[in-house]
Amino acid sequence: MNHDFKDFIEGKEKIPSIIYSDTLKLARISLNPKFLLMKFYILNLLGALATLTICPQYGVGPFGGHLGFVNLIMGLGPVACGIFCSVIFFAGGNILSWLCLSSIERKWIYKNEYSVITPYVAVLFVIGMAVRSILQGHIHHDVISYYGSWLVTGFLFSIILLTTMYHIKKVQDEDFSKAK
Amino acid sequence: MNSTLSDEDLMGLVQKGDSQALGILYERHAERVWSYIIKRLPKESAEDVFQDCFVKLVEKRTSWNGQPFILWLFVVLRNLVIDFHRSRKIEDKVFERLSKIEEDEVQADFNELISTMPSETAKLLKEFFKEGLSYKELAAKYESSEMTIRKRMSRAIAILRKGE
Repeated sequence: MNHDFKDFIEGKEKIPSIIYSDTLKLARISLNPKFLLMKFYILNLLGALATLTICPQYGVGPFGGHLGFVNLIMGLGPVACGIFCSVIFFAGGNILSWLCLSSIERKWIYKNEYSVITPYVAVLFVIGMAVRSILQGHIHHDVISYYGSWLVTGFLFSIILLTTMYHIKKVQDEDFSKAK
Repeated sequence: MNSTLSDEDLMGLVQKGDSQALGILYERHAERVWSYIIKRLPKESAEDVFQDCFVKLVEKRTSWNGQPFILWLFVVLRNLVIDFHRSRKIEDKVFERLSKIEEDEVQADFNELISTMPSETAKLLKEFFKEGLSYKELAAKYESSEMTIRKRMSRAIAILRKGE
C-alpha cells in the first residue's frame, strides 16, 4: 500500500512555535491583503515624498534647488536624470516601508512583489504627469526619454531593492538563529 | 466561530474571506502538513514549503468546489513537495516515488482506508471519492436532503481520521 496519504493523516509532529504563528499570519495576510497593501503604499509614499527635499526640481533642502549638487546629475542628460530621480524616489519609499513592516509582512510583499510594485509605480507616474501638467514653471528635462527612464527604473529598481533587502534579512535571520 | 463546523463548512467560509475559519482549519491540519513535509524535505526548506502550502490553500480557495477538504489539502501539499524536488533536481528515491504517485494511487489509499469502515459509510465515501457524485446527486440517490448527506459525509470523514 502506498502510505503517503495514511502518513499524512496520521502526522502529529509538533511545529516550532515561531513557524506556527508566522505561517498563520502569512496565510491571513494572503486572505485579506488590503490592510498590508495600504500600509505599504502609504509608507512608500511618505518615504518617496521625503526624497523630494534633494530633488533639484522641487528641492527645498541644502541639496536641492539650482545650487544643489544634484544639478551635476541634471547636466548628464535626461536619461541619467530620470534614472537618478527614480532611484532616489523609490529607494526612499521602499526602504522606509521595509523598516516599518514586520518580517512576515516583508515576506508577503516579497512573494508578491510584481503585483504589488507594478500598480504603485504606474499610479505614481500618472499622478506625476498630472501634477506636471497642473504646475506652472519649467521642467528641465521635459522629454520622453526622461519619463521613460524614470518609469522603467522605478519598476526595476523597486523589484531589485525589495529582493535584495529580503535576502539580506533572511541571511541575517539565519545567522542569528544559528548563533542562538 | 463554531469550531465544531466541518472542514468543508470552514473552507466555504474561507472562500468568503473569513479569517477565523482559516485559523481553525490551520489549527486542525498544521501538524499533519508539517509532519509530512519534514519527513520528505531538508529541514532548511521545510519552513518555506510549509508556509507555501497554507498560502496556496488561500490562493487556490476559489478552485475548491466542495470535495473533501482533507484530500484537497493533501493534493495541494503533495504537489508542492513534488515541485520542490523538481526545482532542486534531486533525483533520489523520494523524488522518484513521489513523482510516480498519480491520482488513482491516492484513491487506492482511500479504498484501503475505507475497507475497515461500516459498509454504508464506506459506500458513501466511495461514491463521493471514486464515482465523483456530488452532494446533490447523493441526496437524490438516497432520497434524502443535501444537508443530511453533508452531515453523513462529515461524520464519515471524522471516523476515517479517528480510525487511523
